[in-house]
Amino acid sequence: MRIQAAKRLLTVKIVYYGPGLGGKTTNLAQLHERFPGGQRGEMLQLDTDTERTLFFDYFPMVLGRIGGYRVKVDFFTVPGQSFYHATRRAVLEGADGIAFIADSTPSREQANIVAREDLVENLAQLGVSLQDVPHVYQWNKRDARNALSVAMMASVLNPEGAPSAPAIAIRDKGVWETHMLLLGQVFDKIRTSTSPKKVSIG
Amino acid sequence: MAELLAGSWESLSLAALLQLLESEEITGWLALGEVGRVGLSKGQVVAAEAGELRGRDALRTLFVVPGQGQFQVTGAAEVPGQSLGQTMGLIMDGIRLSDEWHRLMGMVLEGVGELGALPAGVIEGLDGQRCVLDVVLGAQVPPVRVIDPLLTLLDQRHIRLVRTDPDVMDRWLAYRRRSSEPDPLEGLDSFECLSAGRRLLRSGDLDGAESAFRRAISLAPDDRIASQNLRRLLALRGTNPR
Repeated sequence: MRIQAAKRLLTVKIVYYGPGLGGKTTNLAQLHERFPGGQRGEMLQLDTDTERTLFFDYFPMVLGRIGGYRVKVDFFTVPGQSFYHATRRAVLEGADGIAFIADSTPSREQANIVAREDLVENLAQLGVSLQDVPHVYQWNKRDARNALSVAMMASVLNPEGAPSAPAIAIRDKGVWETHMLLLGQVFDKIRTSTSPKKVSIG
Repeated sequence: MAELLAGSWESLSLAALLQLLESEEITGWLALGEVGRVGLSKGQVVAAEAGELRGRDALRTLFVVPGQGQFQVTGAAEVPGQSLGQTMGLIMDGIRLSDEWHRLMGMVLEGVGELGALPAGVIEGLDGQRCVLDVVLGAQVPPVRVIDPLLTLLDQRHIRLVRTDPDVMDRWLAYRRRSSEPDPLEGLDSFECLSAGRRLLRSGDLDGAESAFRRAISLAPDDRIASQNLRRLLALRGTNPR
């Protein structure tokens, strides 16, 4: 969270994380489409080397005021490939909320696990525990053939029992629900804080 | 102009500094040791300098070849120039290039197709013997000028990966240390660069010697002695001198 006292602006950082080709980009593209034009910023795209990954998305949305501060939300995705180490670190640094987009396709079961382990490891390198960051899970691609069961995915990926939602992001199903679940978590934490204690630059 | 902020570049990254200066809408210059500087107007990046590079390539270089030492922010009434782009976009682009460079620099590549997109000097170096770092430093080409072309050529299979050099990181860190210091060849004429090259060669600094010989040749392209020294050095390094 970044506070700009002179501007009375509070900026929150939301990161969409998950295995490559799991639907992170699709989620943010759908959200970007949904937000009113006057409230959203430009969606920035940087192509990475492989697959059809989007390097990151970023757009602000004015949400109203908290304690007299206007609120802006920055949304990011991270590239899945392992060699984008510095990028993932920069994106995760100072994250106020994380949406883990899991892929229900059976062949991606292991990729989901690796991505979550990677998330935990990257946060640990930043001195942060996943438990300390508001986060939600999205079980994406529920229309996949022989989709992994939600119960099975939750037992493996979400032992902490964080909020979760099923989705078919490509058809804009579950995208908004995931987004609102996460924002609820993030702003609950902000509101319950007596005062903003952490100001980070990520 | 007044100093607004100063500190260690290693403890506060360029990404963090640019975000801070944007949020405070600073107009002035961010000096990064001996490596370069960034000009800001109301927090937006409007100028960047790194060695002989200017603009976007210079800013990218400051991300890819971060220096060591101190940074200093000084205020200014005005810094002329057009915005180089949205700050977050510039930052993420720079960090992406840094990641790509760390992946590429240890690759020993061999050209097997059309390499026209690469700068001269780099094309000849892709002979399957030296890693990208050595080729790029030897050719005195800024890494940011080859990263995306190399990725494209790899994707198009115009170059192939022969092997990966496991010891590249040590040489990269040595180069970064040198980059943080004043250019030892600055202001030298071709004869002085040649002498410096021989001295560096005797001391075992092959990278430094190659840079000095190449600088001597760039200053005096017809200098056969400098060319001979460079050929001998390249032969010593196991590279086909062309």
